[in-house]
Amino acid sequence: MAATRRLHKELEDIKKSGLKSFRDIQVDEQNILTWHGLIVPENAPYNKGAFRIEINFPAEYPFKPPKIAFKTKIYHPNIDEKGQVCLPIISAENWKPATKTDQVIQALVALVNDPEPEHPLRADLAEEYSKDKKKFMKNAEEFTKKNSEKRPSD
Amino acid sequence: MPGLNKIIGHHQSLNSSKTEKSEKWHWPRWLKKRKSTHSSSHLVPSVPNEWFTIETCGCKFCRQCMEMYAHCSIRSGNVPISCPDAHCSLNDQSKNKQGGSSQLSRNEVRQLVPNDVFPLYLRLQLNTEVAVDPRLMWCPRPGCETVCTLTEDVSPKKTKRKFFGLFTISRNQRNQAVVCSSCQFSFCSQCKTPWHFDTPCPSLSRLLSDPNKNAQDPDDPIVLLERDGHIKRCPFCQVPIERDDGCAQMMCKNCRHVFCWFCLASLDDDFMLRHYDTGPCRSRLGHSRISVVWHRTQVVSAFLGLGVLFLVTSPLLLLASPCFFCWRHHSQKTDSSLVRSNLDSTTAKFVPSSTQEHL
Repeated sequence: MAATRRLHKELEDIKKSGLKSFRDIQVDEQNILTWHGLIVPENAPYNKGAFRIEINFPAEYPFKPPKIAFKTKIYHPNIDEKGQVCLPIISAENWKPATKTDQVIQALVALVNDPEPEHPLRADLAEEYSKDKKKFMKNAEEFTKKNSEKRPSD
Repeated sequence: MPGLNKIIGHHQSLNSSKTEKSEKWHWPRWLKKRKSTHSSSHLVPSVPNEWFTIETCGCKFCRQCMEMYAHCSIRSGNVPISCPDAHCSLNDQSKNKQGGSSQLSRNEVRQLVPNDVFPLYLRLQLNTEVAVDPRLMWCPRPGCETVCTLTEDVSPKKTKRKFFGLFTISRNQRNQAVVCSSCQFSFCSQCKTPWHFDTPCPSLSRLLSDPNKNAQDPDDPIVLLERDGHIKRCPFCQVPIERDDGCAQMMCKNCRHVFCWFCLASLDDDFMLRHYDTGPCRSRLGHSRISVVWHRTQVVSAFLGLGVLFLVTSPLLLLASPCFFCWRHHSQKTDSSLVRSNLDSTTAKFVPSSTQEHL
C-alpha cells in the first residue's frame, strides 16, 4: 500500500530528526494512518504547556491531505473548541503530494506560535487578540496553565 | 468606503495567500535549495523504474508515483492537475502573476492514466473551461450537452470603468439570447430559461423578492445561507455575495455594482450615501456619523478639486483647441484616400461601442 510505505519512511525520518516542537510521537503498529503527538510551542502564551494532537492520514495519502485535530483544549484564534484547525497547506485545494508531514507539522507549530487573527476560526478570540492583546495574553496563559499537558522536561 | 464583500470562493484565495506566507517563513532551507535543481524524487518510496519529467516546469518524479497521482486527482475531480511539488519554481512564479501553477498537459495526462480514465479527465477539463470562461455555457435543455458560445463579450474586465462615479459603469453583463447549435433552443444567458426578450428574468426576479422560493434543494449550503440572510445575490449579475463584516454599502467584486445590503437598492450614483438618511434603511449603514461626514467631505473636496483643476486649465484648453482642430483638419486633408477610409471605418466602429458602454 502506497500510504503505508510512505508513512513508515516519514515516521522514521521524523523520529530521527528529533524535532523539539513535536515530541512523544505514538503510532499504533496496526494502524499507521493515525499518529498522536505532543506540540511544544516556544512563544508566549503557549510556552506554558504542551498540546496533544492527532493526525489522520487518508488511505489515499499522499494524494489526499492528512487531517489534524487538537486533543488538548487551546485558547487560540485559529483553533476551535472542537480542536479543528484551519491549516492552508493541508486544505484540499492547496495540497501537494510532495509535501512531507514534517513540513505540515512545522507549519502547524508556526501557526500555534504566531496566531493569524486575519483568518480566524474563533472570531471572538481573534478580536480580543487584535484589540486587547494584553487581555488575550492573560486569558490564554491562564487557559494554557489550566488545560494543557505538561511540557517534557528535556 | 466600499462595504466589505466576499464572493464565494474567497476563502480559497485567503488560503493561498496564507500558504505563500507560511512557505516564505517556515520551510527548511534544504528544501528551498531543491527548487532550482529539479532533482528527481518519489512521492511514495519505491524501486525506481522510470522517471517522468513535467514539461512545463521540468520537475522530475517517479513515473509510477505520477500515475497514481494523476489517477487519484481525476477520481477526486481535481482538474487541471498541477505539479505535485509545492516548491516547484514555476508554481511560485506563476502564483504571483496569474494565480496559476505548473500544470500537466493533456498529452502528459494521456500517458499517465489508463484509457478508461482519460475520457473522465477530458470531461472534467471541459467542465472547468466552461465554468471559467464567461463566454461559454452549457445548453440548459435536459439531455442536450452542447457548449454554447455567447455572441457579445461578457468579460467582467470591461465593466471596470468608474471614476468618482463620473462615468457610468459599462454593463456588458446584460442578458442576451443564446441559440444552441445542436437543438436550436434559444435561451437567456442569465436565467437559462427560454429567451424572454426585454422583460426581466422571471426566475431571478422571483428569487430576489423571496429567497425561500428558491428552496429546490434544502440542503444546498448557499440556499440555507441565503435564507439566513448571510448571502445575497448581486442585484445586477446575480453572483452570490457573503457579508461577514463591514458596512451595508456593498460593491460586487464581479460587476462592480454598488448596492445597499438591506434593500438591494442601487448606490452607484449615491456618492453622498444619502440613501441611509431616510426611508427603511435609515441609520443602518453601520458607520458612525463622524465617518459619514468625513466621507462626504472627501467626496465634496474631490469634486471641488476637479472643478478647480478644470477652471485653471480651461484657458489652456481654449488656447489649445484651435490648434487641435487645425491639426486634425490638416491631417485629414493630407491623408491618402485609403487611410481616410480606414479612419472613417474605425470611428464608425468606435462610436457605437462607446455609446453602448455608457448606457
